[in-house]
Amino acid sequence: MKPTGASRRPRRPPAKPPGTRVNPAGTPAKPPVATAVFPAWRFHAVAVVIVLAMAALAVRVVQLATAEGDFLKRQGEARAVRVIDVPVHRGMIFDRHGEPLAVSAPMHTVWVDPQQASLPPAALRRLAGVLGSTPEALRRRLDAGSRRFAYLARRVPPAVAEQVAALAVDGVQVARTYHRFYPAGETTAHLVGRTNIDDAGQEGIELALEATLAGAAGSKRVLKRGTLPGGNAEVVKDLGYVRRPEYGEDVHLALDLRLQFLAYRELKAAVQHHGAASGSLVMLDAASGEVLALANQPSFNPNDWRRRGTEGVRNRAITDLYEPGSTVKPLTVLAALEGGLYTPETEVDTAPGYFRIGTKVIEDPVNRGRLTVAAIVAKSSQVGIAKMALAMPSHAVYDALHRAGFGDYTGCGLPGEAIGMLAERDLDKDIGRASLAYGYGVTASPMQIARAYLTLASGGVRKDVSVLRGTDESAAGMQVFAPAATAAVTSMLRGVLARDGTAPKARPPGYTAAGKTGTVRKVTASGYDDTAHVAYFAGFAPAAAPRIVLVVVVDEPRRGLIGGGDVAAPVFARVAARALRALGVPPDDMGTGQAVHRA
Amino acid sequence: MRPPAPRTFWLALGLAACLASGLVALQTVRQTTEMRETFQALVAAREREDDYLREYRLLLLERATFAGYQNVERVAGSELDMAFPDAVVQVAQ
Repeated sequence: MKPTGASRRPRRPPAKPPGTRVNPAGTPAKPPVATAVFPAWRFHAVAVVIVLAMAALAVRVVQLATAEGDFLKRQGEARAVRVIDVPVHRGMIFDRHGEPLAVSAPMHTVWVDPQQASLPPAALRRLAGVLGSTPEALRRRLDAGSRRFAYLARRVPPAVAEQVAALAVDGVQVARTYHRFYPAGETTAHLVGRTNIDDAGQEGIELALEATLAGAAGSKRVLKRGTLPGGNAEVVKDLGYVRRPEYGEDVHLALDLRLQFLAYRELKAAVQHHGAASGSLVMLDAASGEVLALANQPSFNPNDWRRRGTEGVRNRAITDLYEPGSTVKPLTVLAALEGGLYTPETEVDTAPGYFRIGTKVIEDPVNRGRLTVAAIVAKSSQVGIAKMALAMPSHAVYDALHRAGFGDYTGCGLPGEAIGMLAERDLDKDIGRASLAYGYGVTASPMQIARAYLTLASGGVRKDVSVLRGTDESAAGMQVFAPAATAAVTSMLRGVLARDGTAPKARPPGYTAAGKTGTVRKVTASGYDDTAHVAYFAGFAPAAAPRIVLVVVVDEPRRGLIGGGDVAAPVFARVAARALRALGVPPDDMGTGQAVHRA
Repeated sequence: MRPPAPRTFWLALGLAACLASGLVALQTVRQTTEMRETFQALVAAREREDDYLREYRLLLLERATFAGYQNVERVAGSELDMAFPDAVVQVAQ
């Protein structure tokens, strides 16, 4: 039976399971899947476990970082972190035009740990064959004591080192080192100097500028991993410097290799020609005071220093002291002109060619009668200059020499420089003042004499001498002599090179020059030796606008003439002329003669 | 009963954290590898620089030795029959 309308009631929705949500529209929501898969307690349990695990890890991390941190750090570093050396190159030395004078080139060292290496006879024979030695010699090196290190060979060329490495002898190591080479050899030996087998400076610039040239090897911490076939672990990371390396700097000298070579060659020829014991030559730039050339004889080959003789090593230009003789007469005259007692035209009576001070006799070679001051310089009259000195205050000549730099360092910066002797003790005696006026009783090195003539060439401005190339073309100095008096003395020094002067052979062809000779008897244990002399010529050119200052010293010439005008003056002429041409200085003496080359 | 949305969020967050950790680990490995490769390239470049410097020094030394004035003069005199103009004379006008 169908239900009727009054009794009809809305149908109830079907019963829903408990917990079923009903949306506002009355349709049931989909049941959540998570409710069925992940019960709530399991979520909390997992979360708690994870949190506990994280906490445990955190505690462990803190424990490792604090309680065991240092230990673990040491262990880790011991296994992976190493400190390795950072080698540095020694700087090169160049001349003023960039020509290399000292270059470090790679070589190798072959070494072995005698306590670990077991070299069988066959391996020794192979090694000896490659190294150019004998098995017995190598065995002696291995058997020497209980050392853990022994050189088998040093300064091994790269090609030979490669052969040694190719032999793969167990325990034999090849390490790279550097060896110093000097392309100019003995020409620049005294100025540049040399290094020893450990590449440390021993003489000359190599010693004076050791800190600049050598630098300092550094070290750094690195991270290493694994090992390479050669036994070395691979560096995978730089961790920083332990000691920052200081690379050796290159040094540029004032030296001009062209001038140095011709100076050295001329000096060597003169020393050989005259059978002299030794010789020195110093050439300075008149504007800057820089050393353009410095040569000595005998010399040595810095590339083969084991064969050098002791005589050739000394840098005589700065270490050997001689009485400068007549080369100081211009300074005596300068003192006289400044004192106002004399002018260049003032006459001094030198007759009869000698005069006596106590028991000492001062004499000229001939009686020259009355001479002007200029003629006294040109003729190099001992009597005339001594009489002038005696007429001056007692300290006048001493003071002039002192102002010119005698008894003081020149500032050249080379090691072993001697300052000579300039003493006041005999100035209260006539003979002391007279002998000082012509260069006895005082000692100076060739470099000091060159500096004194640099002062004359600079118009009375004393400058320091430098072996390093400076940035200024004209060095500052101190005005120590009156410019007018200096100019007057320079004019007198030109007369020395005149035909009737003491050094016509000193005239550089094509150029004017000014200078002074000197011939000094050497001092021996028994007094002055009349058979041993030192020959000088000191001067500058061109005379009007000096470009170079040049001093030539020849010690004990034995063959032929022995005077400064015959031995040292020709060297001055040849070196000055060629140096000025090389420097591009136009000739200034074309009126009296012209230099030509014979076809 | 807890609502389902927060659980999904935490689950997704956990998965994202794991994924991020994995990515960071992979990136760390990749960066480390790249860094080491770059370092090796740097080491190789330094060694090449050292080699070039050594070669430069050797060439400089060789040039200076051959071009040394003493050598030039020897070759000029002995092999080329040349002479330095020593014979300079004064010509009076």
